[in-house]
Amino acid sequence: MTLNGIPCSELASLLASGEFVLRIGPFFVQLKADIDDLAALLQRLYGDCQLEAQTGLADFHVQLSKPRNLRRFYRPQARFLIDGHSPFAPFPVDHAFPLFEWGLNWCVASYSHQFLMLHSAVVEKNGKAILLPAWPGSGKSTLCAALVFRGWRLLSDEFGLIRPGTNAMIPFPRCIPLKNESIAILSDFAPEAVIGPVFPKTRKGDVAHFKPPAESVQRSTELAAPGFVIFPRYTPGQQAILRPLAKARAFMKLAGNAFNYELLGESGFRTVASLIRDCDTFLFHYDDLEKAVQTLDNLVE
Amino acid sequence: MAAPDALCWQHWVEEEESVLFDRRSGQTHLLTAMATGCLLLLQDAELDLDQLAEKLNVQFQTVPEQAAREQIEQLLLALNELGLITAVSV
Repeated sequence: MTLNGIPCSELASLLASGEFVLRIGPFFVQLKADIDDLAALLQRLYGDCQLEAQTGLADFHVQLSKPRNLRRFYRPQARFLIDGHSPFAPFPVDHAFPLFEWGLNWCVASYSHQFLMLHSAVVEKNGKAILLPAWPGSGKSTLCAALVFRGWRLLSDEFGLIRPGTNAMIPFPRCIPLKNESIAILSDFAPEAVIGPVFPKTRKGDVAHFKPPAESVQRSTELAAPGFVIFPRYTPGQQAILRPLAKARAFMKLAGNAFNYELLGESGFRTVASLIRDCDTFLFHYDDLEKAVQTLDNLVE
Repeated sequence: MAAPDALCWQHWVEEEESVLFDRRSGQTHLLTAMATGCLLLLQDAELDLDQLAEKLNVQFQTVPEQAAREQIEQLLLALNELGLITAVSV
């Protein structure tokens, strides 16, 4: 059953009792939380995801709770716990949702070494997946969101997941967090997008989360064959241009951009090598989102 | 000099550079065509500097010979520092 199929009050009860188990891509996330309005926001942004039966088995056992300190009387906070440990400082309680999102990123990056985890957006169209690996600030998430709201399937805006020894991308479709000016740009670009509230003055600036399209979530067990590795860079004043990138250089950039390449050793090397062998590799500078989408559409049509 | 057997390669057709994974250190290296040629020759056989320079000169048609030899010496120093080649006593 999806979150949309359950009354919000029931979701809040499940959250409070720790019986809320969300399936997102390959992961089962058990969440316990006593934060007001979190159930409604989860339902709004993850409404197409499956709520799983509580079996005690989950990849991550997460708790969002309000610390019982003096601050709770004048500036309440929310704390993220994984298996009872808190890896970060608390956030203001009204930033509990971005805390959950960043905390879940941390859990995946820290523990999911059954996968090679590339720091990359991944989208798919016509059976061909494009990896968009990039460092923060390159416009990766904005471009990813633009593609997704022009008909591309979202696999992830952050994690390119591959099981070592295979060559298929594993979907992990979650909310796309956009920052600062990108929020208004994407809202204009895709007025139909469902967007969560703007969380002002987070450590990354103003942040808002775009709901993943229902079709991407419904196809989240369907792997995708990679066809292209494209390193995007938002460059003001630059026409959308794809420039071929030598494969050895693409290898080094992709591996250097991974969360756990070094930890996986030779199996990481062989998996990246196989991926690069099967893909065309490019650098991509762009300015205008419509032209960027058109350029990438042309690649797969 | 000899290159250790713990090296894992990836070459691409029509590309000069290649990448190499060192199973002992866990490090990955981006190599020029000359460095790749040098390591592959040393993986096949133990060679001294003169033998190596001669083979690389044939392979890459480097001239003049003295400049090529200096270039190869620099390359060997760099590869040695990375632990990709080892000195072998004869």
